[in-house]
Amino acid sequence: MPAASNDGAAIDDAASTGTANVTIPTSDLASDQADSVDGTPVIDPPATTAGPETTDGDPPADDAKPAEPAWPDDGCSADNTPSPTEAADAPAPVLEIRTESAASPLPDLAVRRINCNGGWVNLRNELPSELPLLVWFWAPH
Amino acid sequence: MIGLGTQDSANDAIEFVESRETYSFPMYWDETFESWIAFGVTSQPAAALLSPSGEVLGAWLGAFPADEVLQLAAST
Repeated sequence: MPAASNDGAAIDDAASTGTANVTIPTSDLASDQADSVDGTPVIDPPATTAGPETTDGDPPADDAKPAEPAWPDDGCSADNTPSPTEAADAPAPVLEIRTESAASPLPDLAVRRINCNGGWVNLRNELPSELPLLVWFWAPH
Repeated sequence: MIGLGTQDSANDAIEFVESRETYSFPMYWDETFESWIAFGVTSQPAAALLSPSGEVLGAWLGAFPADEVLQLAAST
């Protein structure tokens, strides 16, 4: 993995102005992506809802077709209702990278989701996305 | 939006989520620190706004300005 020193200095130096230049070292990250990309989607795909069953082979009427979700259902609640998740004591799994995320600048790293649907996700699969992605770096203490 | 946490323990992280009631967006826990290293983040809180393709649109150390974030996000 890339070293933090240069980029960390950049964000610290810019603190006085309220903004920081975070540069994701894509050149370093690219070195490990070739080994891990195999084109298989992985991040907990949203549950799919089967359409209504038909017995005669006719396709279901359009108005009976389930609506396509505008955004993957990650189990997070729109109204912020709790979705507690247990922390599983297990080593991080190896998670594959979506084909479309092969060029994502995010690190190829399994991280544990501790709310919403729980489970593990590969951080690299967060991009590309339909919308801009705000990443909030936090720590418990 | 995602939360990307590290330091301390996973149980501390879950307590944090429960006490702050952050359930409306994914909160991730990285016990390795590697994600922060990749972003060059050395202290928290901090935030970065990435375009859908991964370009860094903005980055902030400390509390991030919601208006500026929304403005930048809308410009993509």
